[in-house]
Amino acid sequence: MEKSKDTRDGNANSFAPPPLDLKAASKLENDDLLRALDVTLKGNSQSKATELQTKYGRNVISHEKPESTVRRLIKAFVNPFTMVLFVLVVISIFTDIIYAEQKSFRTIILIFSMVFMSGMLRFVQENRSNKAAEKLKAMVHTTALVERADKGKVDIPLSEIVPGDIVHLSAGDMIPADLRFVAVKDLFIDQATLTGESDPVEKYDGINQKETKNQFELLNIGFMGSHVVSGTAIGVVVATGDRTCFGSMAKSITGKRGATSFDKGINSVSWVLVRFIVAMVPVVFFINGFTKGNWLQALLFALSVAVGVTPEMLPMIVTTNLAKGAVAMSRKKTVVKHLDSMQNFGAMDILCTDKTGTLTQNKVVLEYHLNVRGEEDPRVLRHAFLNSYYQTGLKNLMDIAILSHGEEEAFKPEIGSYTKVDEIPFDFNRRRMSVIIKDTDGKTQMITKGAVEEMLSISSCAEYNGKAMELTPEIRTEILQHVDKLNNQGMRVLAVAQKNDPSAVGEFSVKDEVDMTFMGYVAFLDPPKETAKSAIQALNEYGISVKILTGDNDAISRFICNQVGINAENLLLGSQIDQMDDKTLAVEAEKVSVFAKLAPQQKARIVKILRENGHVVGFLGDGINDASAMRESDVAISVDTAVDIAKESADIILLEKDLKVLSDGVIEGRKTFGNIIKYIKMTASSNFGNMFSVVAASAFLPFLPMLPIQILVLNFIYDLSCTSIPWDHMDADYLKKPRKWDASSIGKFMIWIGPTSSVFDVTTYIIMFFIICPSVCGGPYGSPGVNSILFMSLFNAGWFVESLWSQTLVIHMIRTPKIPFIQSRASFPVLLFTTLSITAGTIIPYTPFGAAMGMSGMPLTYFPWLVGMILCYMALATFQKTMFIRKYGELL
Amino acid sequence: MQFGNNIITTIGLFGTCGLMLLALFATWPSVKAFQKGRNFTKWYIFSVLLFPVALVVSFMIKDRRS
Repeated sequence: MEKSKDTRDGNANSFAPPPLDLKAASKLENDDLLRALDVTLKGNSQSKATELQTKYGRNVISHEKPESTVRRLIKAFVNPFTMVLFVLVVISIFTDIIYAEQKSFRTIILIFSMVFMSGMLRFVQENRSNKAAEKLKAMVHTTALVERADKGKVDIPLSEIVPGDIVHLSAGDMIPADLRFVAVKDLFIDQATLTGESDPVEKYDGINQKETKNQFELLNIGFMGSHVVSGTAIGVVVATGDRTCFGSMAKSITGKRGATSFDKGINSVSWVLVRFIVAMVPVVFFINGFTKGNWLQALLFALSVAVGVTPEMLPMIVTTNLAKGAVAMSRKKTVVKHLDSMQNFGAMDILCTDKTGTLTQNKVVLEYHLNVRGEEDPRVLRHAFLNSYYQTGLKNLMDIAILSHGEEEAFKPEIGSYTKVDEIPFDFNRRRMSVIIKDTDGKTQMITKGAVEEMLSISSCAEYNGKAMELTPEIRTEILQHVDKLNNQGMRVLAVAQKNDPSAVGEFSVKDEVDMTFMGYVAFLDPPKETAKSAIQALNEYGISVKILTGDNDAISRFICNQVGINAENLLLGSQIDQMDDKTLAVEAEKVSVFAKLAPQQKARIVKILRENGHVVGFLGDGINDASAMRESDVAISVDTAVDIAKESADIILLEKDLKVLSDGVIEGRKTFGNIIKYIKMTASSNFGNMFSVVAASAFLPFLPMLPIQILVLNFIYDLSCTSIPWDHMDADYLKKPRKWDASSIGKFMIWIGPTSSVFDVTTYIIMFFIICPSVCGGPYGSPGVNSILFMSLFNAGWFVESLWSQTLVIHMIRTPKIPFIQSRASFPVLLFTTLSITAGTIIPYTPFGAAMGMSGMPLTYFPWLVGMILCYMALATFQKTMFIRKYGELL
Repeated sequence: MQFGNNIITTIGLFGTCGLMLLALFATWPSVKAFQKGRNFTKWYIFSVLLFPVALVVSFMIKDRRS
């Protein structure tokens, strides 16, 4: 359902209440209902619809409206980082202004500048990401077919529906608002979204006689958020937007969505770091308090260390990565509806898809119209044409092919000789549909079209040369042989049967579909796509095996699959699957690539079993029969032209139903996931290493290794350089394998790689404490005549610069298992940002800004040591990376 | 290098640095042994305690997996 974008939409109380409540609407006769809503069955005029929209508001749910700009701005500034900075400001007010002999505002200005920059950076990035996500959502439209008095039937966006609109519904349609049915035909609605009831509910168009407290039991009311499983209906809209049952329940419905594996993974990483912080901060606080005696400074230092190791940029980097990836995917004709599904998209190792339109061109052409003896017969085509012409449900490609061929054969003028009486819509159990028509002589005739086996099962006679004869087993066999031959040539076949004078008008139903006269069959060709074979090969190369789950029969499925290079030897049929228990199917599903003659629930069962086998399963579908399998999958993929319910169930929408488009999207998904995991791993390991360094410094140094403000500035510069990560590229080798979220690998990575930087932090302490600082200050720390303030400020500056170099270079070390800069180079934005960070950080101690933070410029003799340490650090990190890869098989 | 009277700092920093390097380099024999089908954790402890011996032995032991 569409969510409102502006505050006016969001406030249901600013609009008039609906003209009728649902219970009242359910008790009215159709005429009274239409009168109460001041509408006729021809619908509202466009001008009246506009007026009603002003009165009742747009048909959107306001519950999940985006947060206001002010709220987002506040949120961008309220985080642990800024909170500690504010504490520092308060302390600086006392130390630098109130109790200072010489007042200085430098530290306060500096801290406020950092708060402003970090907050704005966060706000701007998140704003851009949100806007990108909204734009992507707007690329996928769901419409409803309504009557407009001045325009006839028109498709309009769901948001433009108003009370009183007359809506036409057929299988696969979402119910766009709360409406009362005024005409239905075998209508079954899935209300699971609202009630949790998985079985479809049959709906009627009469007055509701039953008194019920639960409005979902009103059988003549359709509720927004539910969808049509089968049948057709006309309904008049009673309530829209927030005034619908869905609108009033939106909070609880949207709240039901559980955390994805991705959310859980991010949370688990955050919690690991939080636990470390909680354990370490008191240790650092007490050690420094006891050893240095300044408890206030010890507290500030402990808090700053906590902020320094808090991955406060994690949400922003993840969101930016996802939004950036989604925008890149949209350029490749792939729209991501749910951003976090991108991770599953990249992790997908099995793609289940239907055959039509994916492997085939989706350009169905009617090749033959044959009678029971396999001879061309125009009567067969004429009956198929009448059936397709008069059916009001979803016209599939075969209906369109029949209509187009029928028009070529000039059948259209014959339409005038018939009037439609009724129809029995298609459903996936019967796999056929019927129309009942009456000719000018008053003779009624039922014409049924559907799958050959099902049609044979309801036929008792066969027609040949205008004469009906008994449908003997011999004729039945002959028909099936002809059909098999056509299927083996890759053709889809539908049979046509008819029956004169079925039940009386108004009493037609499925039970009339018996004792029919089998007329013949129509055969269609939907040739395989030229790109299908190479696209499947490309998917296989990227570690994704393609499984075909189709409702079509085995012969045609085998023919098409063989053409596109899918092994169809061990093909499994729906009937065989039904005889297997889950354990057997779990084994078979691994071996088999093609599943034919599947009912919707069988598709869902196969997807479920494959997931239970440990695969990340994607399902590409566009029909109502795919919706349940899509819901069962890890990542539901649909196309822009799909039925509403398929689009609604989808995480990802392809703007073109092509496997090539899909493989491009998968690569983009893997890049996005790679960049996210890269940031998480480098932040986790670097923070873990810093904790060691800080504990060692607290225990063994006679002063703080870095002042609180210095830690925060260092953290800020590092975070700035990390904002370029979403623009980095991944090694080609990384993209070749599906990447599953594995929280445990982050922990292992952290423990293996983190201490590497600590070694060089401690080495820096040694070099600064025993070599550089004594040489500048004239002796070791604590010796008579040695300027301890200069000693400390030099030491702080030395570790500040080394820490920034090692933290920033770790981005290059960890982004690839190869040798950085030589075998694999980061993207230009990453190179630029990290170079700028290192340059800025190295210059800072020599500037007034650095002096304000309590740092002194290091002598030139420091830099050969620094370069030597960084080279050793890179060598040790490469060694440790190699060990990690040998132990666990991969780096990221 | 000028140590002055900073004995605790000297011992603490050098000791920490040495232990950290040992902890990191101890992964080498243990990974080598792991690749030959041995238990990584046991070998890691062995490597931390007797790094030079563990390194030599890890190269000499037979590959159990083959």
